[in-house]
Amino acid sequence: MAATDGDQLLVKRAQGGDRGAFDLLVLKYQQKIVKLVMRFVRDPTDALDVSQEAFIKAYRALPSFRGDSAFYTWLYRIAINAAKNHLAAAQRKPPEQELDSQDPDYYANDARLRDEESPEGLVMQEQLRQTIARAMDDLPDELRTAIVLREIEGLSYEEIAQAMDCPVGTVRSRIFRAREAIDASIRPLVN
Amino acid sequence: MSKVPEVTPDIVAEQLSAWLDDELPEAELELLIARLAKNPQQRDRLGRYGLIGATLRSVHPAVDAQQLSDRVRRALEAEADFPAAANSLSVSIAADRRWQANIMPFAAAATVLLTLFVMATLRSPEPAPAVAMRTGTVGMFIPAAVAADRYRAQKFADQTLLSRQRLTDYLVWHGEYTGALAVQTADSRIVNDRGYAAAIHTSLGYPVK
Repeated sequence: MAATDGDQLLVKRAQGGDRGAFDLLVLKYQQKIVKLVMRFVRDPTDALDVSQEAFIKAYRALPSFRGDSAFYTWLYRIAINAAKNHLAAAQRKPPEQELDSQDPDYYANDARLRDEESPEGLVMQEQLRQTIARAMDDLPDELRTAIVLREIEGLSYEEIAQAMDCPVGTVRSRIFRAREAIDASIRPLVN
Repeated sequence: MSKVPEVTPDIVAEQLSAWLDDELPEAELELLIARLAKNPQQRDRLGRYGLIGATLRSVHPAVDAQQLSDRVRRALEAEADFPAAANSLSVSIAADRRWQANIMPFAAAATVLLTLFVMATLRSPEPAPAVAMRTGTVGMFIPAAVAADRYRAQKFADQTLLSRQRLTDYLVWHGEYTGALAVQTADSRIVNDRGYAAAIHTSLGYPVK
């Protein structure tokens, strides 16, 4: 299933007034959008505000979204503009690099984000990273391989199935079980 | 909307996991959306799955982003509540006004037609039976001509009461659309009914009550 297919269905439903569908889209992309906005807006609290504003603007603009581009690409542009507006309102210069990069994933994985985090945030991140690393170590091999191929290598279920020589349904189940095991370990931290 | 079958949370969670990877078939996505509406706590799980992925892909996940979806949802709900209520109220009032405006001429016409119908009915009572009839009160046979007269008078009295009641009922139910003119017509009708009844009774040789 292509990435945009599921999004398009949800977008269509959200355009029809289904807020639950839009909520799913927010849940799916909140990590990416916050990290993108944090590249421009230094303060994490402001970054959350700007991200929220971006999602709300997107919701309001949904009727005009025709699906010419992928939903995330469209959302990404809205978030970039919200960040630029925030900087303009604060009369601060945006970062020198090009703001309108056409690669939505570029900013999401920008390593310089770390420098802008608060000490508490960095401690939390480190704690989370270590907890997840330990949970990964405890996973059975087939579950660890499946989640690594998916989350780190970015392979599709079909490609993972070929690499692991098993049905796609098994891949789906293994990735889910790996996530559940890791989730159980981070739940006390996050909650 | 079709009934969503009950499923264990694990099935919903597995669907969430597959959806996050854009690997959930469209048919299952429809079900997932419906199931999520019944299990809102699954939203938190989806957020944590996203956090796990972000952590695995990079060394600095945005932990605070976990609360973003809640904030957006609350903001949209707060934003929608007031305008939605105001809009629905104004739409409702406008619809009522349109409906009243549309029905007004028909209600007035119906009132006139009903009045004419009642008057026509009262002035041409159905023919009396040609044979002698048994009166319920005295329990004896009386000549056919007298019986016919009494039948007409009784029928007239019944119809007068019936039509007056119908007219009153109609005006009570539809009074808000007919206006003052119709009320005046009803009052006139009731007065006229009494006068007309007296005239008929006198012409038939019966004392006026």
